[in-house]
Amino acid sequence: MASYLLRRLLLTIPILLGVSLLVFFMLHSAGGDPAQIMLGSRADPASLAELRRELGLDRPLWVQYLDFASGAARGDFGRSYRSNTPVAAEIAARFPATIELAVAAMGIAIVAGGIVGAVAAVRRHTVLDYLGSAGVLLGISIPTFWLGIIVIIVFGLWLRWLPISGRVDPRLGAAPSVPFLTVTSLLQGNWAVAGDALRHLIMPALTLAAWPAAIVARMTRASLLESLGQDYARTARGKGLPERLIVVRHAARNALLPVLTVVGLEFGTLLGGAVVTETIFAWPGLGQLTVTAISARDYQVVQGVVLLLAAVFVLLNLLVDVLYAVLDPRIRYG
Amino acid sequence: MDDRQATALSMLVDDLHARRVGRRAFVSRAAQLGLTVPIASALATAAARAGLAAPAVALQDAGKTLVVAIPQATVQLDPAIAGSNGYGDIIPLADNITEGLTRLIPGTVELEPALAESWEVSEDGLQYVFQIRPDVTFHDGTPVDAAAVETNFLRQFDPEHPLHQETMVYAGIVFADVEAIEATGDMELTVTMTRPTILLPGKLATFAAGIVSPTALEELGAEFGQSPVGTGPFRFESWTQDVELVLTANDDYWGGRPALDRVVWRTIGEDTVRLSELQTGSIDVANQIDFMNAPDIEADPNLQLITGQFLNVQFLAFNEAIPPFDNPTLRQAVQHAINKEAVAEVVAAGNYTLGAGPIAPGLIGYDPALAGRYPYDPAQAQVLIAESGLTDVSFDLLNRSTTFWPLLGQLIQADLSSVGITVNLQSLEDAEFFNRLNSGEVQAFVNDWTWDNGDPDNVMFSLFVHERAMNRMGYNNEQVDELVLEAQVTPDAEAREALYAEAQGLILDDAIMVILGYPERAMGARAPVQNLVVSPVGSVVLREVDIEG
Repeated sequence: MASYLLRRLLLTIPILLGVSLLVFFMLHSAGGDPAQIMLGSRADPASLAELRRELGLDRPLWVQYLDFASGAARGDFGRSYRSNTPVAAEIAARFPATIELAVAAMGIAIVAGGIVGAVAAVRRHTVLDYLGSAGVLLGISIPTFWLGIIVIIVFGLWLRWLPISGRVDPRLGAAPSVPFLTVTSLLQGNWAVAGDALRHLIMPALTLAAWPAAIVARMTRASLLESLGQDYARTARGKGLPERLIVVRHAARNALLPVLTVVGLEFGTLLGGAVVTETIFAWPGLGQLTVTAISARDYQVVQGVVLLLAAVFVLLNLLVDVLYAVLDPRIRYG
Repeated sequence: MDDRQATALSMLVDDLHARRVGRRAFVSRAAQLGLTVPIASALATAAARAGLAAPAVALQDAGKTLVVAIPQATVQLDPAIAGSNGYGDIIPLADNITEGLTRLIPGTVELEPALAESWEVSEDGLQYVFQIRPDVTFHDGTPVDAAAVETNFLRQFDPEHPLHQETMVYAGIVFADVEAIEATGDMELTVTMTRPTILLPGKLATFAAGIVSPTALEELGAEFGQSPVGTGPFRFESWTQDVELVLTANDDYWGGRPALDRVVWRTIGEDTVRLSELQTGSIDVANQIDFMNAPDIEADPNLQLITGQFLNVQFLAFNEAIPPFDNPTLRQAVQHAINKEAVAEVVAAGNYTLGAGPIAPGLIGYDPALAGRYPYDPAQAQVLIAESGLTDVSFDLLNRSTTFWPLLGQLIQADLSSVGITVNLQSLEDAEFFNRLNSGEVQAFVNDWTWDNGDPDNVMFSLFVHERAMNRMGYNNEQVDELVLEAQVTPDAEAREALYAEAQGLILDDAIMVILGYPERAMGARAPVQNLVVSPVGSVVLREVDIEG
């Protein structure tokens, strides 16, 4: 197991290298340049050239790439063109908010998707199953943008049950940049902030959960149905075990593996910063940072974020593989 | 905070930086201090610098807090660099955190003294002597004197200055025609010009000429933009870049302490979300309201719609260096083919003055009669197209992909299609849009210009004389250049007006752009918000703003 882990970890190096190369050249071929954006509509050619020189954008692309890659290898992702702050600091300020949102959304998705999927499998071809399928279809096909705005208008504006955007009411005085605001304020016993932060979390988390919940539901249903059709389930039925126990004790655990894979992958996607959700709800996470960085051609920030995400993806995959071995004793890595 | 607390606080912060306390101890010691507003913020900043979690504390006394939402992101807060990111940086800064030697009276284009108490111009018009306002201090306690202002100006003006950065993009605009800047006394600053232009005092009211603490500049270097120190009515407290910025009242403000205790700037990009937040009362002010939503605000007794003059001109520009718009008759034909009334509806639901010359209403040189120069007349357009000798005219029109720009492009496309011209519309995000514009290979584009100060020169020079004109539109009319440069050195308002009238006449003769019009701007606010006015240069000035009750 240890050598397997080591091998997998070593493999991340070429993967990250490949990702960084790809992102670097894609970004630079996308047109537009940071100097141009910084100087904006007031730009004149002379100051453009000077700024490009100052930012190092006049050097050959491969030199720029080597510069970036060697910095990244040492943990230095450079400074943002826009704000002149270290990229690592910008990411560090945003990632916790995204993690918080992703964990909340994934939690909702697992619980809701799991329940819907399990009920649909156990009550196959009943009204409940069809309702579940309809829900899954909706979850997969509703555009996040639309869902977010509708949720805002209904729960925020009409019913006024929940705050509309941001992470915490600015009048409470808590900084929106506090990492894991909800948990931190809970631990400090600051109920006002914790409650407010939690209320701010609900709408974006629900919006974000729609897609993964649908995926989890579909996977749970399919996988549970397969388990319930296995020989051991038939044997259990044969010896007169109640169906509920067959599902909970035997089938569920075996049905978990494919669901786990899906959850792992979806979680990686969510950690990438839910670009649309974060933008609509003015959620100060990584997705929002990425969007502004891309539109400003803030290459350093975009590269930093993408590298981080690649690393997160690789590690999550590894984690899922390890969990496989834990959950299924038949799986051994060597 | 009192002295005892201040001492305890500074000890705690020192310990934190020296890593003598861990996170848990830090939080508990912070709690013992009582965590009032200034302490909490100081701790938050210190903790953030030390890489620790800032304590999430509720304020015991937030006082009068105004929450303002703007659509743009705030990235850094050095006024000299603010131009490179845009209004997200400019709006919280200008006349709120920092002030210049001069400023505009809110809601007008009228100039008044700010950090300069007065100024005099030498008889030959080549020397400006500013008397710096006495007894003013920066937020960090550094006194404002001529040397401080000199440092501020030189770091922009002199490329060799140790504090100079290439991203100080407005240096060329603010300090155009300046030969030398020198502190000629403790409180006296002399600026020597190469030409006797009359524009300097107006340009010094531009956000980019905001004066900041030289002590902080030296200490923070390139990081200054992360914690700005100015002289304005509000001081920087804390922020999360792109998300939220907190300012507190400057008790020692030279113009008297502002009525608000605290201002929170939030970035909310989505128009619907910004409006909904206002309607639920979570924010007090929403800047840049789409006029389509104005009736909703007006109908709500808890809200008020604030509109006003906004110095902005929207235009369809041609490149006369390349076909088909190297043909002057075709350019004139297009002028007659565009229905500006429809543009007014689409862009600002009618809150729009139809285009005349390049100079916007409210400024010297604006002449509504120029609107009659090319009346909307599709038949006349077709006659001119026939005269131009061109058949099957088609061209690429570039527009920006945000807000109303795509719709505006489609309107023009439809108008021109009805007179037989084919428009290939290209909607581009800003980065690519300006990139293509500067290539000089764009046949036509729609864009706008927002004034940086209250002088007509800002658009007349920037759009038609600056090398940008040649670069983007292939435009180079020496007579226009002469007239605009002459207007720069003409103090007499009437004489200036005559010069601009002539220049605008020539520009319209050349038909180098269709002046579509000048939109108004709207803000939404909760009813108790008082004294808030629309700024003609796009800023949001809060020093006189109050919340009733």
